[in-house]
Formats: sequence, C-alpha cells, structure tokens
Amino acid sequence: MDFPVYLEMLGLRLHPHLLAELVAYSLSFQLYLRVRRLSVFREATPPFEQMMWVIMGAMFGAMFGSKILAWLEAPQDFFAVPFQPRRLIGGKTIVGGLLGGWAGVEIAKWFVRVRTSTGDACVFPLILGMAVGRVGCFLTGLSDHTHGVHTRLPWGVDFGDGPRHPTQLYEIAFLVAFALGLGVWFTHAHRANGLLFRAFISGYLLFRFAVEFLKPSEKIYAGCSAIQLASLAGTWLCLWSLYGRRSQP
Amino acid sequence: MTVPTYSAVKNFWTAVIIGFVYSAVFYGGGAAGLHPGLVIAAVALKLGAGIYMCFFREWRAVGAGLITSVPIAVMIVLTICFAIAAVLS
Repeated sequence: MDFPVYLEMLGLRLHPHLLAELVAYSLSFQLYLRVRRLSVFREATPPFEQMMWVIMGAMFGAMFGSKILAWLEAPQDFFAVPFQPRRLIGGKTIVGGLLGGWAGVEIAKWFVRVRTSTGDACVFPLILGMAVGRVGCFLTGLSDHTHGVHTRLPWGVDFGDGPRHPTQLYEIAFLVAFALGLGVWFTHAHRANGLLFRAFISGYLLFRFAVEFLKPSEKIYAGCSAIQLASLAGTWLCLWSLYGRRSQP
Repeated sequence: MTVPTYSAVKNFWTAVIIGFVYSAVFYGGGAAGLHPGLVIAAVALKLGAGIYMCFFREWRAVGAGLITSVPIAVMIVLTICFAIAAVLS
C-alpha cells in the first residue's frame, strides 16, 4: 500500500484526509441531531435563544484551540523564515479543538447564564467524528505527522520509510473501546449532568498523553510536547471539576 | 391575517448555511489567487453584518448564525478551497 492512499471517485482523485474530515463532520453532526432528541439529553438542553450562543462559543473556541495548539506543537513549521501566512491555515489538533471548544462553551454559558450541562450529548458524536477523522490521518501517512516511531513489532505499518507504530489505528481502537465502556456506564447512570462529558475528556486526554510518547513529535517543553502538556492540564481540570460535581448533594 | 412566526432555530441554521456558501465563494476566489485580501474581506464583512444584526431582537438569531459560520467556514471551507487550488495548480 502506498501512502497517501488517494481515493478515486467520479473521476476525481480525492485526498483521504479531506474526504475523511468531511465525512467525520457530517456523520458526527447527524448523530448529534439524533442523540439530543433523547429525553435524557433534551431535559438538559436550554432554550435555543441561549443555546445558539453556546454553539457559537464552542465553534470559536474549537477554532482557536485547535490552531494555537498546532502552532505550539511545531512552531518551527508554522513560523519558519521566510514567514508564509498560508502555512497558518494548515494544521489542527484534536486536543486543542476539544479544550478550546470546552473553554468557549463555558465562557458562553457564563455570559448567557446557562447552568445546565450541555456536553453530554456531544460525547458519542465527538467519538464517531474523531474515529472517522483518524482513518483519514492513517491513509494520509507520513505527511499527516500523526504516525508513530519506528518499531519491529509485527503490526508495524510501513508508511514509506520502514515499519512504524500505527498510532492512528491505536487511537481508533481506543475510541471504539472507550465508547462501548462509556455507553454501558451511561445506560446505568442515565443522567445528563456533565459526568459523561468529563469522563470522556479526561479518559481521552490521558490516552493522548500516553500515546504521544510513541510519536516522533518535538518534545521541546520539559521533555513533553505541547499536546502532552495540554492533555495533562485538561485532565487535571476535568478531574477537579468532576470531583466538584460528585461531591455535590 | 396570519401572524408572522419567529423561529430562532430556523433563522440561526439558515444563516450558518448562507454564511458557509458566502465564504466558499470568497475563499475560493482567495485560494484561486484572484486577490489575497478576499479571505480577510469575507471574514470582516460577515462578522460586521452578524454583530450589527445582533442588536435587533428579530434578527439576533440570523446575526448569531452568521458569526458562527466564521469559525466553521475557516475550519472546513478554507481547507477545502486551498486543497482544491493545490490540486488544480
């Protein structure tokens, strides 16, 4: 198999990442529309006059978060001399998008005085979107910068320069298993109070902190990458707010 | 006489789609190299119009939708336009 694996469709040669990204956005949005109709989530949803500001906060937060963390992850790629503004367009990180989106939601909720939890309905759509998106990352290969370090393990994938850890596939496997676990847990808990969202964020960020050690990313921040530091900070924030919620009567 | 109904949900998502299409035209022009300022102009015009509409209750959902379409378009449409431009060039 040669990477990137271009997909031929209607006489067009489509880049796998672009296609997977579009499919991921569409599928996860469709799933979100279905999930939020469930009574357990509908009860927690504020009126749309307030909810639209929360959506806006999520979008702006995700945009800034995903970009800023991508720039911090590899500053030499984005701010190389001579500076090219077009470089800033490329590069997005899931961790930055999640944390930025969460921050944007909390800021918007504070402004419009929404007290209910709105993130639980987003958990399974997010997992679906991320898993589909990672298929695009895997099919793109080395140029996506999401591959692992070289390995001699039998499941190593040759992206063109020898067998490497297929960290994109590890993430898909983790997401599927995590979704099943969260699904089983939530059917017993059956309450949209923010716990599901926080459990998802903290679990995913811990996984990302660990799997980043298998990636050849620049560890320029005290032996860690920017994504690892953001993951640790996000996990701490999440567990802290999780503890606060559990201790409420 | 029918009383006009006001649907925030409908207005919001319609504005998001309009903003999305509007960005595709402007970003497409910018990516094709017609004028590099087209991308900035698209964002500035849409943000300005959206913020102005937010001052009027009946238009608030439309304004919020237009503003929300900015990050969505930057994350999706801009990437597509530059990818297509790269393939065609």
